[in-house]
Amino acid sequence: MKALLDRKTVLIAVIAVLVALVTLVFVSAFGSSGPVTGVANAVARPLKAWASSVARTFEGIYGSIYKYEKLLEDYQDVLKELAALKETAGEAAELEAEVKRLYLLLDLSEKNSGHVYAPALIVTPSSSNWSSSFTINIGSDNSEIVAGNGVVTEYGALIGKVSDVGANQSTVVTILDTTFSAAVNIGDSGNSATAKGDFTLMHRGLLKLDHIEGEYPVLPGDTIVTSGYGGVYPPGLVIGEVVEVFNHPTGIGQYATIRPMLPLDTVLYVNVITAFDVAEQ
Amino acid sequence: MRRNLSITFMLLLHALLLTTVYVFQGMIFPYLRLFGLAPLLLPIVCTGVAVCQGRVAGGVSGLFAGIFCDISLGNPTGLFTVVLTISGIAVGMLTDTVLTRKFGSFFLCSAAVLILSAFVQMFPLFFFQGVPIRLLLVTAAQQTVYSLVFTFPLWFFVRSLGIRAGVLV
Repeated sequence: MKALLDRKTVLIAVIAVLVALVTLVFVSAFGSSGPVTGVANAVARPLKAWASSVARTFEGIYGSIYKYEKLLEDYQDVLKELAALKETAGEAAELEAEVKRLYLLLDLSEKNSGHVYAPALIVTPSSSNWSSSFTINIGSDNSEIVAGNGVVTEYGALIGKVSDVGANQSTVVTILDTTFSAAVNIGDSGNSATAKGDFTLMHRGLLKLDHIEGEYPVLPGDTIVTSGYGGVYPPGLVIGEVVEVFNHPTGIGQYATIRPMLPLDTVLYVNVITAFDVAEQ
Repeated sequence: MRRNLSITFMLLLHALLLTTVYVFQGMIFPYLRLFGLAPLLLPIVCTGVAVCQGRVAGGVSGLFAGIFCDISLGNPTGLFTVVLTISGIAVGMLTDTVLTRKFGSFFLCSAAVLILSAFVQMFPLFFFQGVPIRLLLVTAAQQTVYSLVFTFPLWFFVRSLGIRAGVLV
């Protein structure tokens, strides 16, 4: 045993523990990932950019080959839907009014006037099967972002929050991750609830709506927006819409599943909210 | 002089293998998930190097594989840096003493390290977020089995490195 644990072996183990300790101290004390991860990230950055573009190209080829039949079916469905839409052209005005109502409900343009955005590009999604996160191409050196900032899509829908800030890139945990939780309002009913990530639903691209409080029933299609309570996220950010409503196994109350406004794996550009007005509550 | 060049060349080959596998694990497979799963490849590489070349090479490759693993999983806490280094040393010790440097040993050790990795990943979800253990075990099993598929192609590379290093024949 003594011969096995020679100086080289012990030295390697000590280096590993030191690297981990330094990283842990930096994560705990400064909210950054530390010098070792920073250097590794800096070295890996051009690789990531290159691989990201290659992966997207490869993904396109992969999709063309293996999803051809599915695309064909979808195409047929789209043709049918198009025909149906043509038949119901008279309903266009009604749909337009619906869009306007939703737009007014979200009231994004006015409420977001006090937001300060830092635009970013998604570099790579995490390869973890246990969490949902991605890396963006901005960090403390080239933006004002800090851990905890909300992250929205180009259209203003909440997609996650910054969990770790490096020098030139940062990690964002998505709204599907089990660590995500936000106080929300349900549509214009006045009901409040909590939207949070759920391990089972995460793999299906959904999150959970729980602790529902209010007079009105929750219905599929209801839009879920942040309420702003707690001050973590500004009010009025769309998270998604209700897919299904269930009774709790205990028999008391309900919970629901939420589908994000966009499939998260299709998002490429995001905006980090580095500051916002909290006057409107 | 010639020996130094040989060592440098071997280090470069190891770095190339680790970097290539990191690119696949961290940047290619996240876009190509199978049933929502991405494989863990870096633990397999450090296990392979440990099986073929012993505890020192296993520990060093475990150290770098761990750092890469922490980055690719978006979890920069240094956890995998420690786990894979210790795993590399432990597997190397086993093959230095009791195990043969064959594919069977590599496969079994890879399975053990992948199971350990899965437990490390499920630990916070179980203890701090109350996710039911049954769901976690299903994901752990799926991740381990899916990752083990890649032991077959990776064995070719780690074995080639072992032969070049003069440990394997």
